[in-house]
This record gives sequence, structure tokens and C-alpha cells, in this order.
Amino acid sequence: MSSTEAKKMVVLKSFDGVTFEVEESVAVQFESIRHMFEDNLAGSVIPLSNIKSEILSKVIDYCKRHADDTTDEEDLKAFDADFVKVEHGTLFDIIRAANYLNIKSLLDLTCQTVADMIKGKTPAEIRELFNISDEFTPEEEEEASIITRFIYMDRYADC
Amino acid sequence: MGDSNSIERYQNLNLKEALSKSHQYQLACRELGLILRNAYSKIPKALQSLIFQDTLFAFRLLPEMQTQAVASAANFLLQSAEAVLPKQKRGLAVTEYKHAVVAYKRRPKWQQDGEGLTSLPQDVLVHIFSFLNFQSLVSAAAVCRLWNAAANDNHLWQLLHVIFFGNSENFSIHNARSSRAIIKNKENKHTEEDVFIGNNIDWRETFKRAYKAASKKFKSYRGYCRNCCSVVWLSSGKCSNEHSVMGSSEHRVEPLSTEQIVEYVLGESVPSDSSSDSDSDSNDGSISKLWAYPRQIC
Repeated sequence: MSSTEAKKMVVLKSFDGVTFEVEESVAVQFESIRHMFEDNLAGSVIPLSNIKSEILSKVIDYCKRHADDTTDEEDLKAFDADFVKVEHGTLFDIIRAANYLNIKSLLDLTCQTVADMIKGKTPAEIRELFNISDEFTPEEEEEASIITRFIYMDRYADC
Repeated sequence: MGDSNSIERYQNLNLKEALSKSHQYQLACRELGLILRNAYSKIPKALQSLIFQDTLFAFRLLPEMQTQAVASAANFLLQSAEAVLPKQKRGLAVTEYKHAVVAYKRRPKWQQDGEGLTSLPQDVLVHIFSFLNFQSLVSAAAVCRLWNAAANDNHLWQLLHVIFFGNSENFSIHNARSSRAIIKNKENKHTEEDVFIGNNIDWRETFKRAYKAASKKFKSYRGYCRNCCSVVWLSSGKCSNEHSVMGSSEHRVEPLSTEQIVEYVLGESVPSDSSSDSDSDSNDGSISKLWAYPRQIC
């Protein structure tokens, strides 16, 4: 992929003022800023005012890896699997950033990760896992427990 | 029944793979426990040792699981192991179990500052939920109001309906009006009152009716797939293996109960059509309650 001519570079500026210089091939994966390139904005500084530098650098890492077509598929899979092994807070920040920048593959990867955490859990366990306080009335709570029993206990009635 | 046959049958169950997935661990543990209990004494030595190894494997994986229900499933497996294993193996299993339980209790709890998922925009929540299966979606709807609203997204239920019942026009059993064109109703997706919202279909309601009509089929998590010619894990009432012939697989799966799995390992039964009368539909009440639940609350 390396070409001798100077690559077009784009500068991204995070919420906390840190700037990242990236190749155009990386930045075009951000669907939401791609249209800027059509106006030839390459070379200017693009402010991403709601993404922290810590998260932005991760997202850029991801896009760099995925822009590099010399990486084989197995490696990429391993990279993805590793990429989502982060704390919940970070994961949600990445989801928010991927949503904002409209990077579909990253959004799918992170949302699938969260979905896998939810799978097979009762409402109470999900609340505990994500530290969500429930806002249901006792009556609704009772019905939630019926759901729980329905889904997870009936199967074991024979044990 | 030859040795290799029963081993092959057991391996077809793919229990080891299921054990390593956190959402199948519990089911796989129960199944392994029941096989231990009811079949161990009747099977060849080679298979006994295979099942013993898998039991240890299950205990070793326990600390990695994140739900509370797995603890009771592992306990069930232990009781089964204690009941049937010879002394030495029993000792090994008990030791492994004790280590696993200690590690399980010490597992790090992922806690964070209360923000997190609740602060995600609703369209992102809907996107996350689109990766869930039916049970988990119903479960997610009972987490909090925000999730409830997202989990009732009409498009999600439309997707589920397609997964469960196929894309065919045969859902006209519900209502003649459903033959109307399905409008991609992104704008209207949060409204629901009856099956129809204007000209749009309320997919949750539609799904609910179709599901109720076929609930026995979908409550089984194991089945015999005629395409794969083997016992498979069911997902949404269908074989979870990828079939090249899409759509045709839905009538080719026979739901199986856990007892039937045990019989299958023992080689006592060939899955047949008469299989499904073992579990009676006694919990109709809870099903309708379940459906009564996610009402409009926002």
C-alpha cells in the first residue's frame, strides 16, 4: 500500500484538545466526516468535540488496522477480539464514538460484544452487570420476575 | 450399540463447545448432569472417561461465567457426579469443583460509574438489541424503562418474526389486512397500540400471536435436525447450524427434551414425530402474563 507520493493527511482534534494526524485512508472510514473530503478539507483540522483523546486514539488504531489490507483475516479477527476486551465504560465510549463517526464495522463489533454480555442473563443480572438502577414499580418488578422464571426456570422443571 | 457409536453420538451433542459459551453453559451443565445421572452406568468405559473429562472441564470454566444461575447448574452437575462416579474420580471432581467455586466467587465484578449503557442513545440500544435472541430481548425489556422502550422497537420484532417464521407471506393467518405492504416505518417505530398502527403492522403483537401458537416448538433448546441428521442446539426454534438451503430447514427440526437427549446417547431412541408430548403446556398462564408485560410506559 505504500506509495512514494506524499499521502494526504488529515488532522483530528479530540474533545480535550489532543490532535491526531492520520492518513486519509483511515479517516475516510469515518462515514460522518467523509463528505468533508469531497469538499477537499484534507489538510485542515477536524474537531471532534465529543470524543476524548483516549477513545479517539483507540478508534484510530482500529481504523488503521482495518485500512491496512495486508493484514490477513485471522489476524484481524484476533485484533478485534482483543480490541473489545476493555472496561465497560471504555466500551460504551467507543460505541458512542463509533455511532457519532458512523463507522459501521466498529459499531457492529462493539454492539455485538455488549449483546453477548446480555445474552442468557436475567433482568436482575443485567442490571447488576451494567450497574443500572431499576425504575420499575413493585408491580412491574413482579412481572419482570415472572419473565425471568418463564425464560430460565421452565426449562429445568425436569431436573 | 458399539463403543464408537455412542461416543460419536455423544460428541455430536457438542457439549464442550456449548460449555465455553456463557449463555449456553447453564444448559450444557444440566444436560451433562442428566447424562451422568441416567446413562453413566450403562455406557462403555471410553465414553465414561470422556464424560468425566468434560465434567472437570465444566468446573474449570465456571469462574469465567458471569451469571449467578451458573452456580446452581454447576452444583447440579456436582451432585450428579457424586451420585454416579467411582470413588477416585468423584474425589477429583469434588476438588475441581471446590477450586472453581472459590475462583467463581472471587471473580472480578465489572462495576462502573452508573453512566454506561443507560446513557447510550436509543438507536444504539436498538442496534445492540438487534444482536439478541428472543429470550434475551424479553429479558432486556424488563431491565429499565429506557431499555423497555428500545426493546419494543417495531423493527426488532419484525426481524424476529422473519427469523422465526420466515419471510413468507404465510403470516396472513393473523389477519387478512396483513397482506398490506410493510412500510419501513423508522419514524413510527416507537408507537404501538394494536396490531396495526395506521397501515403499519405492530410486529411485536404479530410475533406474540404466532409464537403463542407454536410455543412448544420454540421452548425446546435441543432438537433433531433432518438436514444435519444430528442433534443440534436450537436457536429461535431452528437448527443453529448454517444451512445452504435457507428457509427449508424450519419444518425439518424435531424438538427434543433433555430426557430424550439421554436416551439418544444411550442409543435407545431415534428422534421421531411422536416426541413432543412429554412436556405439557401447563404454563400457558405465565406465557400470557409474559406478553401482558411490556406495555407502553414511556
